[in-house]
Amino acid sequence: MQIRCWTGEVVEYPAESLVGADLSDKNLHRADFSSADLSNSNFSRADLRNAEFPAAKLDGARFIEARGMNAYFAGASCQNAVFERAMMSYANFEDVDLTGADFSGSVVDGVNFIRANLSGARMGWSSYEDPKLEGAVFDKTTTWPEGFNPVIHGAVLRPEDA
Amino acid sequence: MAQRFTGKERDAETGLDYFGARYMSAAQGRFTSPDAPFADQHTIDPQSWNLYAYVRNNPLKNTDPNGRDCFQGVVSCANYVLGGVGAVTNAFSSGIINLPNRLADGLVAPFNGGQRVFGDLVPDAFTATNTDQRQGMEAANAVMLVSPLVELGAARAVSATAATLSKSAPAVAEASSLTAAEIQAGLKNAPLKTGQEAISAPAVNRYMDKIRGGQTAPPIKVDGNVIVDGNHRYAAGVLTGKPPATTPGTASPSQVRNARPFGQMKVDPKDWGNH
Repeated sequence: MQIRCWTGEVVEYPAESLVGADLSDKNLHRADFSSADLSNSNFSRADLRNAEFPAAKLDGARFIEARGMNAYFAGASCQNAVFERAMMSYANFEDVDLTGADFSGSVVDGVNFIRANLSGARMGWSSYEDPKLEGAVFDKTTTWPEGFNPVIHGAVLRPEDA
Repeated sequence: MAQRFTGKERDAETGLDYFGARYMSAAQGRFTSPDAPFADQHTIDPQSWNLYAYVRNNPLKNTDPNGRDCFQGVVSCANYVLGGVGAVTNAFSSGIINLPNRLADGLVAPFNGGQRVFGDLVPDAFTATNTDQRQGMEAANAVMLVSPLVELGAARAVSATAATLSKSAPAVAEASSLTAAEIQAGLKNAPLKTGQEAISAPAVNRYMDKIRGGQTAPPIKVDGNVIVDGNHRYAAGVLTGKPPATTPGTASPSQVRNARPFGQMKVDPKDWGNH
């Protein structure tokens, strides 16, 4: 199948579905994955700058050491997705379900987590200047960088955990 | 060759008038090649959008001494230059251009995060009283603000005045590296829009180095006035006064939804590794 990019490029992938797809190390700059089912796919070390995943299904997907600056995930489902050591500066995770996601060692400068569900997520970012967390929900199992107070940035502890 | 109404020499074989930067066909009232993009185009003056037009289709009022810049009458031109000189004078009187200190520093020392606009801290000696003077001041201020070398002293003040006189006033940046704040300030009036959240300052500097080295950036993709692809290249082009060519593209729904003036985009001081 073909993956269209807003640059005009087309990336060929030798399968009829992207579920569980191995897209590691691919150049997917400005790729369009709108509403696609990408469950358990592998984007490790891929170039995902400005890639678009609105309303996509990315549960269990791996983005280890991916470069996802300005990537757009608004409305996607990323349960248990792994963003370890990924460069995600200025990405947009607005209204994204990040339950159980792992951001250990990632760079999230300027990232938009507004209204995201961060329950059980591991937010051990290595760099996090000006994260936007207004209305994001977390629970008592969500972990944060040492000394980071999510409430100051507008995140809300799930009422049943308060 | 013989001099004609425009004061320019006409080639006997082609019948074209030589304006330095371009040839003009008096028979058609048009230049034979386009003006440099963004060199002398202004959003408030639709006549300036036609890159082939001679003196914005008003030869009785306007002049074009070099094929690049349209002057709207002698008074307008004089006011424009006066504004530019006034801006430089203000910069000196307010201490922003402080030759001994800046030369001693030897390096760019951004002040107030590079966001300061000339004339903010102390009352200015010169105040623009009409549109042409204001545009002249803005052009000179833009050059002085964006170019780190300007802060080193009088050499750049002279350069800014020269740029004002030419009325093309590209945001010249010849230092080895601009800070994120300086890039942000230099892009303030960039005419295109973007749906992108941020660009990386080191990446912009690398593209600027390539342009200074004589390389031509690949065209950027635009949809109307929204950049589809090529934000770093566009930034480098604006800052060096050599914006890249454009080709048509299709903006994504999120780009259209988030489109805003290019100058409002965040400039990240960190290196993203783009080349």
